[in-house]
Amino acid sequence: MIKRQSLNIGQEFSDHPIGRYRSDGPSSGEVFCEDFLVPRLQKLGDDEKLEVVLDDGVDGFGSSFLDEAFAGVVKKGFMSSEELLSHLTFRYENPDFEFFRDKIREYVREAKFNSAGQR
Amino acid sequence: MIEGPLIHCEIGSFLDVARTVTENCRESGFWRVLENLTAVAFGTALGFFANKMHDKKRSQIAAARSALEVLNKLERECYEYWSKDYDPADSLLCESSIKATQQQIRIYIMRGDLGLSKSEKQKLTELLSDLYDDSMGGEFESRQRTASRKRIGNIADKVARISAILTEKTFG
Repeated sequence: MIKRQSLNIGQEFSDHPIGRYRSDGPSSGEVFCEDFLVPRLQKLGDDEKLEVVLDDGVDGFGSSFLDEAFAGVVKKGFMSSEELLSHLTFRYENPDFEFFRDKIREYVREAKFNSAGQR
Repeated sequence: MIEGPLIHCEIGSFLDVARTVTENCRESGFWRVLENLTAVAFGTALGFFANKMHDKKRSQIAAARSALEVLNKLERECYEYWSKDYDPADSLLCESSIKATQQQIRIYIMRGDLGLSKSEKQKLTELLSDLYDDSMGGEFESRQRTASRKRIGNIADKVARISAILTEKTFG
C-alpha cells in the first residue's frame, strides 16, 4: 500500500501565495519550492507520495508562482520531471482547482532539468 | 290482425335506425372531442417546448454576452498591468484584479451554459489555459517585472480568438 504524506499550502505555507522569486516575499514560489516542497520530497521513502492540498484557505494561484514552486524543483536539478510527477498527488475540494492541478503537471512536464539561471 | 305485426315491424326497424344514428352521432362526437383534446394537448406541449427552447437560447445568448464583458474587462486590466514596470503603488491592486477576473472568466466559460459544442469547449479550454500563462506568467507578482510588449501582443491574440467564438454565440 502506498503511504502518503501531506503538504497543505494554505495551512503550512501561506493562504496568499504570491510572486515568483524569493525577493518577492516570504510567500513566493521560490520560497515554497526550496524551503517547503524540496525538503518534504527528500524525506519521502521509496514507496511514499506527497499529497499537496491546493485549496485549503487559498483563493487561487498565479502562473508565475506555480511555475517556480513546482517546475522549480526540476529546473534547479533536485529531481527529473518524471520522478517529481511520480511522487506528487493533489487534493482539492473546489472543482475550479482542477485547472491549477493541470497547470502544475504541465509546467513540471515542460521544465528542463537543471536549467535554472537561464532566465 | 295482419297490420299489427307490420306496424310493429316498422316501428322496430325505425327504432333500430334511430339507435344506429344516435350511436354513430355519439361515436363521431366522441372522436371529435378526442381529436380536439389531442390537438390542444399537442399544441400546448409544442408551445411549451418551443418556449423552453427559446428561453434556453435567450439565456445562452445572455451568458455569452456576460462572458464577453468579463473577457474585455480582463483584457483592459492586463494591458494596464503589462504596459508598466513594477510599481509598489498599484501593482498589488492590478494583480488581485487580474487573478479574480481570470477565475471569473474560467467559471463563466467552463461551467456556464453558452451552447458550446464539444470542439468549441475544447478550443476555449486551450485558449483560456494559454491566456492564464500569458497574463499571469513570467514575472507576474514579481518586483522584477518590466513592461512587456510581447506579452500584451500574446494576450491580445488570445482574447481576440476567444472573443470570436463567444461573439458567434451572441448571434443566437
